Amino acid sequence: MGYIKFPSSLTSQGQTFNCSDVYSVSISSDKFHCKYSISAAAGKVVSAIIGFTSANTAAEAARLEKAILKANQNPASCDLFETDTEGSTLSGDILILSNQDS
Amino acid sequence: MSNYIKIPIDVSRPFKPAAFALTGTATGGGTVGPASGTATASDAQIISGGSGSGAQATILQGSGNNAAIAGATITITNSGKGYKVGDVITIPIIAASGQKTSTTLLVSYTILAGDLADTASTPEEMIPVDNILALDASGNDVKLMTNIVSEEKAICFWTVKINTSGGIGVNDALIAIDEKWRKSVQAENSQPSVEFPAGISAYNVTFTTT
Repeated sequence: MGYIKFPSSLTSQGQTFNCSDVYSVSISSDKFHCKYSISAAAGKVVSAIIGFTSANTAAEAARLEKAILKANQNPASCDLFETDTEGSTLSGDILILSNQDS
Repeated sequence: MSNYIKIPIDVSRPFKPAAFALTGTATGGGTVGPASGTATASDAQIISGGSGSGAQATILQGSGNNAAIAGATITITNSGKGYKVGDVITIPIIAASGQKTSTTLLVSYTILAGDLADTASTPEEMIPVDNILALDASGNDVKLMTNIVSEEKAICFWTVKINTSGGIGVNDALIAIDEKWRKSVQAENSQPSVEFPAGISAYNVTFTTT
C-alpha cells in the first residue's frame, strides 16, 4: 500500500491519496488521470482524477509516477507531492470514478 | 492490516441539511405579507421552543400574496440540533420590509419525522480504511471512496453526514477525517477517533453500493 499527500491548493486543503494498484499516470484535459487495476465495467477502469495545470505536463506526470512508485515501496510513508515546474498548480479535488476509458 | 477510524456521532437530531423546506404546515393566527407584488423570503429567524437549539429558518409567503400562514413555506437555513418529532417550535414576528415576507403574530410549527435528519443509533461509528482511495466533499457530506466496485460497476463509498450548524465549511470536516485516515494507515491496527473542529459534528455514517 502506498499513500501520497497533496498540497493545500486542492479544495480540501491537503488530501491523502491511496496510490496502491495505480498502474498508469497520464494527463488529459488539464487533469492527472491515475488508473487503478481494479475491476470495472468492460472497457472501463477506475481512475483518480486530479485537477492540474502546467507548462510541462509530461515532466509532472513522470514526477507523480515516480512518487507513486516510491510510496508503494514504503507503506508507512505519506510524502507530500508538489509540482516542480514554475506555474504548475494542483487545484480542484480528487475524484474517484469507475467509468473512465481504459 | 486492519485499520479503522472512529467517527464520533452526535445523536441529538438536527433538521435535515439546509436549505430544507419543512414538510408540514405552519400555524398561527396572524397574517402574512406583503399585500401585493412578488414576495421574497424573510431574513433568517432564530427558532424558539422544542427540545433543540440553534436552528434558523426563513418564511416565504404563499403564491398570490396568500395572507394565510398555512400557505407559507418555512425553510431551514441552519439545522441546529437536539430536536424531536412532535416538538412545537415558534418563529418570531417579522416586521414588514419591502417585498420580504412578514408576519403579524408568532408562527408555530409541529416537527414531523420527515423534517429531521436520520442519525446513527450509536455514539460512534467505525470505518475500515485500508481500502479507501480518497476523500471527497459533496454538499454536507464527506465521502470516503473505496476500491470496491459493486455488481452494478459503481464505486462503493462511505458517507459521513455532517452538520455544519456552526457555520464552518464541510471541508474542515474532510480535513479532520483525512488527518485520522492518514494516521491510521501509517500505524498498523490503530483506530484513531476523528476530532471535528468546534461547530462541526457527524450525525450518521452510511455505506453506498450503487
